[in-house]
Amino acid sequence: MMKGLIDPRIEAIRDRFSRIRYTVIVASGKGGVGKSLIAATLSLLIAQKKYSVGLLDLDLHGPVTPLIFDLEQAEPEESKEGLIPPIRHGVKVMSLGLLAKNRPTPIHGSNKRDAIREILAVTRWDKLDLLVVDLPPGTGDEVLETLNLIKDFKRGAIVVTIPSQLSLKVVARLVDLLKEMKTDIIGLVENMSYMKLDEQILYPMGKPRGIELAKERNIPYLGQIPLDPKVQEALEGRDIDLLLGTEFSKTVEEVIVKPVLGMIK
Amino acid sequence: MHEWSLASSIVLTAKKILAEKGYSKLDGIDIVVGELSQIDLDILRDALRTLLGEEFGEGVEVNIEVEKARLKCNTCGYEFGFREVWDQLKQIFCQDIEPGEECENPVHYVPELVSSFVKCPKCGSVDLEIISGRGVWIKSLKVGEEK
Repeated sequence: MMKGLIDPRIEAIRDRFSRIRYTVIVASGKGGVGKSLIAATLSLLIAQKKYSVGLLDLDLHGPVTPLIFDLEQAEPEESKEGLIPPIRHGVKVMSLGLLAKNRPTPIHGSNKRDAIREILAVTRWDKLDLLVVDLPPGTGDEVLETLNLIKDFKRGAIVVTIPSQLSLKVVARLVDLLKEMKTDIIGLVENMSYMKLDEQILYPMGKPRGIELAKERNIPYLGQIPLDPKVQEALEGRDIDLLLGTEFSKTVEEVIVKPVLGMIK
Repeated sequence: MHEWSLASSIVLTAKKILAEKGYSKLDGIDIVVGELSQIDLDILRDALRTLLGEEFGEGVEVNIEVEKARLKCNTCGYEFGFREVWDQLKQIFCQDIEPGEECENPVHYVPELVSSFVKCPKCGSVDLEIISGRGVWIKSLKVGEEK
């Protein structure tokens, strides 16, 4: 007789991830740096290249992915093998927001790890070339639990910062955590780095300096992504085609898509 | 409902544990099911019997025990059971169902979402913590002599 409470979700998660070729974690120690938008755009751009792509929004308290993908009224499809994510523009999208039906998700701290396990165990991705995981800001339970649960699978992190000193300091701590947890870092991107106004280039948050952090921490610096007012227009109009035509998306393509494709090829 | 997927993960886990310990024969399995997960016990039992039969042969004894859910309100300290707030959930998701029909709701998939849909019966707070009765666990495995 073997006794002791054993959680079968761990094997369920292993089984799900064994069908995923590569997982990209999009993370930042800080909130409000545009992480979710970068994760969404990355998944859309790679899906356009005919890869099978999933996007998992693990922000338990403020999931925005359903808004970006105009999925506020959508629900995952129930099946006896788990929940099948809805597909938009070729991307399979899963978020707690799809289950919470636009209500707040006041999940208690001690229950967060269970919520993460449950989403990972219950979501039926089937075979994927790439799963993009949009992590919540910080280095809390959700981040630690996710990194632990997928540690045996091929994965890497895109770390997002903005040029502010505050952001760079907080992001440095996340980089250290990722290293301690043996997660490969594909590179650092500096979002909202500059703005193009006619022929002028403006630096609303000061000159980008993420490259210094990348050098200091010995990680690749992928580049700078602009602050682009067209993005807001696309999001408000729920217009994915417009989003993919922005300077923002073109830069995500140049800066992030290539190294990520290198991981899944 | 994802009882088949749960059964499959239970069987995968049992298989892995037995292999690690050097056993190949399973005589019985005890499962604990949290009340919040609202698992259909008949479907889970049938799924387990089928999948365990395929993996370990016929005759694996399956015992399923339900753990009552307890929730605690962090605002007023009141502790309560799932049944006490069931009507709140039913009102949102299952107003029109026939008697005996299953009330499908997201708490079945992610029990932690309970506080998105119900409030403390005493003070109305949504700052609720799950104390017990979530998820599904393997409590014990009865292994045969054969190593």
